[in-house]
Amino acid sequence: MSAPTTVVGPLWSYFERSWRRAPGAVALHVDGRAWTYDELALRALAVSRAVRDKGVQGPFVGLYAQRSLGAYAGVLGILHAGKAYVPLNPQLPVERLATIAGLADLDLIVADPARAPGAHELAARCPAGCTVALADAGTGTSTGPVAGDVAYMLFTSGSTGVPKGVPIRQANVVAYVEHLLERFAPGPDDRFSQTFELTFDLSVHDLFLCWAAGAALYVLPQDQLMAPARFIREHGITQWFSVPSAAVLMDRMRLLKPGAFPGLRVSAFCGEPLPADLAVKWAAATPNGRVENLYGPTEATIAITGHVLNAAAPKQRLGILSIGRPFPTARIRVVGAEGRDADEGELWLGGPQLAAGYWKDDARTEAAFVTHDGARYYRTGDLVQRDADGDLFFISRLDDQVKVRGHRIELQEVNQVLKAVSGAAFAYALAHPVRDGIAQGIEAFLPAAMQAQGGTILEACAARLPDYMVPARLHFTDDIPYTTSGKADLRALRARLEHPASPADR
Amino acid sequence: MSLNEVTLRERVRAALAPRLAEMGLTQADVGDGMSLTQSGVLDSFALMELIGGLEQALGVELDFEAIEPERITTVKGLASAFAQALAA
Repeated sequence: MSAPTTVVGPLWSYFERSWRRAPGAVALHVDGRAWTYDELALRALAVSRAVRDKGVQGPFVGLYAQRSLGAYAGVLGILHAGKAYVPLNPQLPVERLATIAGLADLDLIVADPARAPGAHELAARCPAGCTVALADAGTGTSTGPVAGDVAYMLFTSGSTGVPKGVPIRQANVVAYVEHLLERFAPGPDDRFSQTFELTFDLSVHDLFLCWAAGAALYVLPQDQLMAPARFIREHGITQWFSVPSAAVLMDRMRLLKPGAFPGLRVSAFCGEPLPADLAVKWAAATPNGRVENLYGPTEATIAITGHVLNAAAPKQRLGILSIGRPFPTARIRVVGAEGRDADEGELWLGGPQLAAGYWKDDARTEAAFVTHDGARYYRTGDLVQRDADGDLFFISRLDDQVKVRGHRIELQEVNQVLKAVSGAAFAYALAHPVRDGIAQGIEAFLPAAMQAQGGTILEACAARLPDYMVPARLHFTDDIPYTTSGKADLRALRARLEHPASPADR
Repeated sequence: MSLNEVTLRERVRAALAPRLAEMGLTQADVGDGMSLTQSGVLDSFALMELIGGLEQALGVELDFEAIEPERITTVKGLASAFAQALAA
């Protein structure tokens, strides 16, 4: 096989091929309006022009937008200009966004026109002087696309209190998209849901699987994410992708009635454990479709294992559906005691979807990305079990990382921020409550003396952390149970949350 | 007998009270038309708990098929949704 030639950026090419084939087809439906491939392309080209005019030095351009026309034109335009996008969700505290902009050495932020004031405020706080370009209606240009190596960089929670950047190359995404094009077989008649924020790499599936197939992307309005049943039916969605929490909520609203969504052809879930009984209910509600459970960390690009539900006999462990088998190009290891291959142990991931490492952080890259038998792997920190068929089951984390509604959270980062803003001697955050295997939020224990400042502490956390990392409740007590090794006994603390006995625990 | 919307708004507010107290907010901070989820008062799971509690207390179930999703996130919208359900 000859070495792959870098044509223009392959992600832009996915879009461009569909654009050339059917320029008048709907590419995007957002905020109550449909945009054709032609219309979206013109907006993207205008962004590309703006990015080139600024003469951006580094590989990255910030994108300050949220699931709007400007956001999608921004992604495409930045890629067309040969740069990688760093999503900056306007919902996040500006302090955190400024940290991210600094880590990524951003000197340009493409912003949704409706978000211009926020973008300028952020740019003013960027360490290295940053300018803002608005993703608005300017005129497109015919300047050809530029090849870029990196596609995007996402930041995940880091245990030291500083987020970690994960740059993902276009080739990583291509390996994913090519498999999914076969697996989900999307076509121009498909209508994809778009539920994920751009800061979540599962959004890349929505955008590029959809546009590679020449299909239409349907963006769920913020206020309908909670109850999308009507949206799915009204817009004839055929390809659904969300965190399982969305299905949990729909189930509570009694919206998963048998046969409710006959138009859905593929329903995929990812980002958190999928309860088997919920998957079976979803399957009954989508009689003409199939249900897929996908799994994968940001470091291995979107998802890297998958399992097709057999509703008659769901493959599960303790009520949680299997995460299935690795995609054909992926390489995995299940590493047990003493580093030996085993049927239960830490999941290691390798292959073409693997990121090169963390951005400008050799120490953390070396700790998480390792070489074994000449091949490179990412150590997920996920404890898994593998059955005789080769199907994997997620058991738990091996460290303090938890997921709240699909978002990765290092509890250590929450503890660090709690201590920093309160001056407390200790802070112990836990994911709680956990229902159906899904953590609903964070609660934390602080010293009793902090009680009077509870509200101030939470406000200070909200100024620094994304909302899903801000504790929903603080508990004030000096009575912290310790293990024999002198660490806080988190299991005992959790038991107190589950069975509150004393007023301090409530 | 059907409860009127004004009474129902009070019921919704009473159910919200513990959460507001936890956040150091007062009833006056929450307008009748303010989105409880987008303002961060409740996440979507907590909102469903609140609705579930009200459904039990009022002995009625909301028809989520028929309700515009944005309606169930405000005090006003919830009260009218419950009024409608009680009248049906």
